[in-house]
Amino acid sequence: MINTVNSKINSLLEAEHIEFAYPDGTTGLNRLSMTIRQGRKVAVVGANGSGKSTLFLHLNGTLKPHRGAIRFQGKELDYSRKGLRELRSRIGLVFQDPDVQLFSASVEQDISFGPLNMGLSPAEARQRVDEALEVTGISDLRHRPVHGLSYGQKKRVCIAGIYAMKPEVIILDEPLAWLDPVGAKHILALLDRLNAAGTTVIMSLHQMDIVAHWAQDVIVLNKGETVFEGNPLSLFAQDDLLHRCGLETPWPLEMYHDLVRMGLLPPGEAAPVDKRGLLDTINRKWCKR
Amino acid sequence: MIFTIDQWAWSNGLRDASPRRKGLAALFGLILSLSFPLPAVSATVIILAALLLTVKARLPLQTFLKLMTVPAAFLLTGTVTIAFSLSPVDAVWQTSIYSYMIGISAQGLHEATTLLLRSLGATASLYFFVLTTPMVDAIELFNDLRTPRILTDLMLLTYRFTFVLMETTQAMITAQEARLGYTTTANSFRSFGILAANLFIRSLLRSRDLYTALAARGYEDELRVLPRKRG
Ligand SMILES: Nc1ncnc2c1ncn2[C@@H]1O[C@H](COP(=O)(O)OP(=O)(O)O)[C@@H](O)[C@H]1O
Ligand SMILES: [Mg+2]
Repeated sequence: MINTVNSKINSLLEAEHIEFAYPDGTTGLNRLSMTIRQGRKVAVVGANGSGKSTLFLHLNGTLKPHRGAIRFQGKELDYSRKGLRELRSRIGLVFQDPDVQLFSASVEQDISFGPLNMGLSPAEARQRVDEALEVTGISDLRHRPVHGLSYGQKKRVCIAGIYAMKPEVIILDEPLAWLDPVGAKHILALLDRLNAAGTTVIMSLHQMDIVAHWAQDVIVLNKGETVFEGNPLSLFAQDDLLHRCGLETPWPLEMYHDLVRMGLLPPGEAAPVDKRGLLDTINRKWCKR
Repeated sequence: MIFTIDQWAWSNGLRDASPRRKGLAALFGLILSLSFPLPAVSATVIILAALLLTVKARLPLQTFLKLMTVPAAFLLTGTVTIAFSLSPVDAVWQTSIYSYMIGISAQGLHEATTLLLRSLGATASLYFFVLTTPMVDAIELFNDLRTPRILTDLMLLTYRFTFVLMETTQAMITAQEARLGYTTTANSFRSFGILAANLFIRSLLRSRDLYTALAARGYEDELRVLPRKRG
């Protein structure tokens, strides 16, 4: 069952029936289709092993589907050296494990890597590095060796390394994993700023209440397939789907159901999925004058 | 000890001085102490290095002395044998063992001191460089000196991943200890074997992932990076 609410309008990145198996025979993706629209904040969710990372590696051309097609701005991906160079300067991928991505012990050097590979002059690259340090809030880490940084700090360096390339699409593989709540908030705020500046942001995550208030579009994967595409509201209206894919209901929605059961809120209204929606519902029932 | 050196390299007062000049200074000290077999010259080099390190780089004298004792201990055992000789003519001190006379000759003592000081002078010069220069700056210097790119790229990766490997090893040992992996000799052997095998596999996987991540940022044949901004 695939719920598709969006049309082809503004479609930026599309996968059509892509299939992929790892060399050991494990199915990575199973006839997966999805569409990402320009300028959106997209959450990709699904249990561990559902294929999120595999999908991301397809979107920047690291893995090539065995069957099916991936299109960026309507054109099929070009896997030639030149094609990949162009693709990867426009679609940035932040890996989950910072120790995989950070190859230089100097924060600045690591961030300068992408811009220099794009052919920018040292002066331009230096400017990009300074800006990326500033935007990600890590200017004070400039002179620290990477091996002395905390996990959250390393994660920001990784994001800065991609930000410095100014891609049109930025994909982040579980950027919030292992972060404390404050660290997660910083990263979300940063992503919002990027998005406001026109960047399409795609990220995988497991916290459904963040999906509820952050994402504009959600893609749910299960065993390498897309089982849902649409907005968070309509996803969280489908209890059975959430349950089947091993996902949780956001707490404000659960709270709402509990309040309805206790007779404190009227049933049948549009159910709120985030804190603000819940507060509004309570407000409407109890605080009107 | 390596970690002490690395920490100071990233936090000393001369960190942002030009790597070239620091390299030249170290080279100068090295050549001076190696080419002049005069204790006074070597001693001056050592004192200069100590002064630069403590005053300019703000390294505690104690740290410097502690670092110097490591090679000094090696050198001492080597040079002591030079000082001793059989039936010395100009003995400063001697003793008889059975029918042999063993002692320290004035000349032997002089030679041993000179050698010891020369070696320590060279060591102090090199310490000056490694204690004031972060590894990434040293690699940049090697690049400027036209070292083949493949070597300097490998240095950059080796340096970074030494720490990653250390952290992984430490985490795995801690995890094994938490499950009593090293309580008996038999357990220790088994745990160590598992540790080694796992580290090997992980390193292989990591190198594959590293390549993927580098390629995602446009890596083709060279690790092009900007020099660290100094100052
Ligand atoms: N390098 C690999 N070799 C073999 N199988 C893999 C590899 N990477 C992932 N897989 C398998 O592919 C499936 C999808 O994994 P992945 O995309 O990593 O999921 P997710 O990121 O959603 O947790 C899983 O069954 C996983 O075990
Ligand atoms: Mg994953």
